[in-house]
Amino acid sequence: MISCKELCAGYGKRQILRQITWKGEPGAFTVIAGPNGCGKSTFLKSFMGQTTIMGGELYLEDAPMSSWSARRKARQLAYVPQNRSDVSLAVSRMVLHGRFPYVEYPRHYTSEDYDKVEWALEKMGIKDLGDRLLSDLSGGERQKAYLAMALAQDTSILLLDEPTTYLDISCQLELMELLKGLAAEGRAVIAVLHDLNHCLEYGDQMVLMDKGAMAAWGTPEQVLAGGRLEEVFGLKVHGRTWEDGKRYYWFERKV
Amino acid sequence: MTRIRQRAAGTAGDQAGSGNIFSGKRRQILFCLLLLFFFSWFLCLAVGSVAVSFADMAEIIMGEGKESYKNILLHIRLPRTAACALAGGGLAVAGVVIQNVLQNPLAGPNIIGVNAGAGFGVVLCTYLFPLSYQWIPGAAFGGALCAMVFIYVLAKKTGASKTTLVLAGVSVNSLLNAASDMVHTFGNDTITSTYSFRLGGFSSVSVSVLVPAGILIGTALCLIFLLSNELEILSLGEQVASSLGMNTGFFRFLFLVLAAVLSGASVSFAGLLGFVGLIAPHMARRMVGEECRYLLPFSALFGACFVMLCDLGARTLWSPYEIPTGIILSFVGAPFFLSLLFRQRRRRSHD
Repeated sequence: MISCKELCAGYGKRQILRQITWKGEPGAFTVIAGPNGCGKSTFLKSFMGQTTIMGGELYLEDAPMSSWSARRKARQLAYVPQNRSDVSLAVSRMVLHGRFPYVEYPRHYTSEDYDKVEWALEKMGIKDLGDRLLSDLSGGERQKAYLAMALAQDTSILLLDEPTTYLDISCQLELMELLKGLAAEGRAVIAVLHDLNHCLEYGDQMVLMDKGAMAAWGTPEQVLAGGRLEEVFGLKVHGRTWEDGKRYYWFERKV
Repeated sequence: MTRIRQRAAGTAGDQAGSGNIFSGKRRQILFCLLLLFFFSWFLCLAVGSVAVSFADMAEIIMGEGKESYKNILLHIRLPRTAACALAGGGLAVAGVVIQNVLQNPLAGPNIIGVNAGAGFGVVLCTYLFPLSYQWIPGAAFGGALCAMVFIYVLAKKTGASKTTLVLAGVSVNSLLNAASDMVHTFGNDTITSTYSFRLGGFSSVSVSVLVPAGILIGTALCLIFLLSNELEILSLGEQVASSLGMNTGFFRFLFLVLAAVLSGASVSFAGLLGFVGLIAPHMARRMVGEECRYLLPFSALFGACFVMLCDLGARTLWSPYEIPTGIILSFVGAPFFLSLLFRQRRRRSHD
């Protein structure tokens, strides 16, 4: 599993993250929330080696992250970034690249790799889109294609940076269900989310960040009950349990 | 499962059915391009101030035939045709590599100053060592690499946008061309001061420069084709590529060095031949999509055919006069490219 101890990180000389200690949980959907610019994406990128580490340590399977080679790490850890290029590649071809960490030069994909591609496309419900070009797909379909590529990587940990950006509400809810389902199968799914409703409704674990530091960490109910969520966002959170047994939230700005 | 395997491997052919507009087409396009390549090659050998028929060529291959025809064919037209194919193929593949690595469809070896860097290397080399022709490809490569590294570091350090990068390239182009002009001012008897070099042309191709440059281009093309998977993954973006376990820093640098080899070697004998590095990749993309294992060979073939036919026009249309190939390349290529762009834009707006 991934974890970090007293992590300080940033870009170049600019420090963003301050003293973060956290441990991922297998089988849990962990959501990372916080105001704009609080360092949520930087936190995820730190695990992918895309930031400057200024202090502390990152761990993967209890070994320091620096001791893992890039290819071995890619077999444990998949990452779906927020900004991607939408090239004119066939979806199945792009998903096949998810098997890149497993093939040695001269990069001939095996039948196992093709099986994984088929499985990943089916899992994401986009088997019929295999022939289509990525650039021709809608935002939701594209997100699923990238998620299928991450699934084809066959990792136990899945990191996603704002996966619901640019998606309509129906696609957002479908994606949340998908991610929750992937976590239920034993993976650690960790996603940066902007929508507090999604965080509170779907998250098994919640990390609340503020100004580069961890403000709270626990189940969404614990984070909410601690009062830090309202404090960090400057909100008053109202909740109500409806007849279906689900708890719904709405928010009011504190003036 | 078989179907997915066919799709992903790109061998689906027509039976794969709907969806990917390129499936099934590729084989036909490859066949047509190969035919066009051999046809252009034959035309370039046969047509000119002295017409050489197919029968004459066959005789020369068999070791017979007229001595004058043999001289024209083996010492003039064959090196020139080979030079056109090498420069066209090399610059086209350099364009694909630069566009994928910088993730910028507007980039090309002549746009971002790589060709100008190679040109400056050649100009400086011929000025400082006028008789050392064997150093020209090396000097061109050095110039191209310096310009490429400069642009890449600029893009990386400043996080420049795609447009800014192209504008920076235009500035680097101007700077390097001015530097070349300055060297010309001090030593205007160098071969590089000819219009043919400045605009790109093959009238002064010599075997002594062509052979080392050809070896460089051939080696770089082979390496790039072997690493087509890596090049394709780089086009998905730095973050995706590195999350797949790729050493992006190493591969970016390697591809840029290989693109500099292709541009430098091409410029060393073809001069500042522009445009083909931009037009050929875009044409190939429209024909076969972004999959590098198809895109690279199709771009190379298209670039080679395009330059061969333009050179044929340059030396025959105004015969007995010959104009630099670069002029024909731009006259034919620019309107053709513009019409393609606008046709596609119109189609999209209709859709």
